[in-house]
Amino acid sequence: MCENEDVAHLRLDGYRNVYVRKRTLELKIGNSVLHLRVQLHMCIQGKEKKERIPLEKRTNIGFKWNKQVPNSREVRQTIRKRKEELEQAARFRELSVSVDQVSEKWWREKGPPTITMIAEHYGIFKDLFHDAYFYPSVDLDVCYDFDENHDLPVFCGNHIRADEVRAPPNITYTSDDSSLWTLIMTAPDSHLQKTDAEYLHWMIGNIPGNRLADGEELCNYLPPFPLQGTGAHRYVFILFKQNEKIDFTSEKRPDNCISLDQRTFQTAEFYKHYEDDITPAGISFFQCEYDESVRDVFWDILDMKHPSFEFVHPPPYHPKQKKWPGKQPFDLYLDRYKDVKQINEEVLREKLKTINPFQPKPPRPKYPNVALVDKSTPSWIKLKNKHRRLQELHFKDLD
Amino acid sequence: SLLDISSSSVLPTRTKTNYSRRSGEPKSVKAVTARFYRLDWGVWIRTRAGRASHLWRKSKGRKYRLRQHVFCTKTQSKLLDRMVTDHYKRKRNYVNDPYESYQVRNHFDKWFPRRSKPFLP
Repeated sequence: MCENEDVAHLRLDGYRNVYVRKRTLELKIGNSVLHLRVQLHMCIQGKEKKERIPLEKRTNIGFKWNKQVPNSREVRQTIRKRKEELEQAARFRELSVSVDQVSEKWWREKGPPTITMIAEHYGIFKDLFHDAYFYPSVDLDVCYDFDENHDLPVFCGNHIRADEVRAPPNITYTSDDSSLWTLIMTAPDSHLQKTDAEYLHWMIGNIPGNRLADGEELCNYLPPFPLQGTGAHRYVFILFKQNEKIDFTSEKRPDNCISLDQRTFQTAEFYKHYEDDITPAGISFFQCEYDESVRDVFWDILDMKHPSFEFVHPPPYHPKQKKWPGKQPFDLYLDRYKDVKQINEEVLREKLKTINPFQPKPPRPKYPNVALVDKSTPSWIKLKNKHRRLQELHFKDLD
Repeated sequence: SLLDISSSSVLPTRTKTNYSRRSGEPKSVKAVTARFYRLDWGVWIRTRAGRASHLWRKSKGRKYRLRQHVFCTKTQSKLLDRMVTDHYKRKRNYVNDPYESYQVRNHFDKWFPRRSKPFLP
């Protein structure tokens, strides 16, 4: 990743994670050509990007979707006939549009390819099915309970907080009572050791019709645990339609399974194993970020120490330090070469001077800059104090 | 003569006094301590000339640059070091010192490593 041999004489040893493209520029250039050096530093090592194969050329593992295009001639005729009455109703605010009708029409005409497109964008087919795709034939409706009057639905990649997904969701979909279904909830991004494996959060097999309670719970619900510092993780619900009753004993995990090894899962392998009997029919997914409640999942449920990560950003490029910098503003020059952690430590020390653990935090003044500036302060500190008062730049952590 | 202080031929000078009359010790030049500030790693800091005069005719950027406190060059710093006593070169720990974080250079050993002498038996 980091080719220090190439750029050793640029003396960027003090910084980690340097990404440099193969040199096309001569490195023996003077300080006056600073912008070229900055470009060189900012270049990311180019891995040749594989071109994505378009959807149409890949294998469709789901049910065929019959595209229903409305007859435009008929549509125009109906519009012409009803235009007058609809317009009048609209102007008198009496026009009511049935939302159910509209959503049903959307589902018939555009729903499945739209959802497939979104899932493709989120890389779900790439990560779960190794590039095979499917059009959802069933409107899978996943809903987490928020409170008495409200629900948290799962659509295609919406963000949901970790403390709201602790309990298993309510799942509904239109189906025959005689048909059998399998539901899987996986997390492709959470795996702690492997890059190509997922964690199985929930699996129910042989579901008769709509009734999840009557299905075989092969793996009990484990709340999502997106790791600290890793950003948003995807959590995918996939509904498979079964041709017949399948014997899932090989997939059965022990009750209240907390072993992450046992929960390691690969959707592609699972699907390959039962390829003849199941077809993917519904998909829904959401994103979740780290929250303090995730710690409770690790401590209480998984019974392990909670891992936390920190993203180390590549440091910004600055020219080589000089022993005698010359006529430069001293505080700005020296601040450039400070470690980020040192700056954070200084801010933290300032914050600790004002904190009193036995008293509540005083409210922030509404107009912080109204206070008169002490005339004896040196001119170079004045701008810094302004940032301090307004809690801007690195002083945001003073809060 | 030079020993006669009340004589008007002896005028005050701004050069450094190496041996003071009273104690025989060197004295620092007050003009230096009034205009410059020393950081522990050897550099001296100064303000820029013209930062308080004719500001109406100076552009915003120019005024900003004039407000900055800048380094002195190497020769200037060395000269100023010679013009003051050790009192001004001591490390001091003030409470809430705004210059505290600037008394130390960062990543200095990596950029300018001390060259160890080669062992020639």
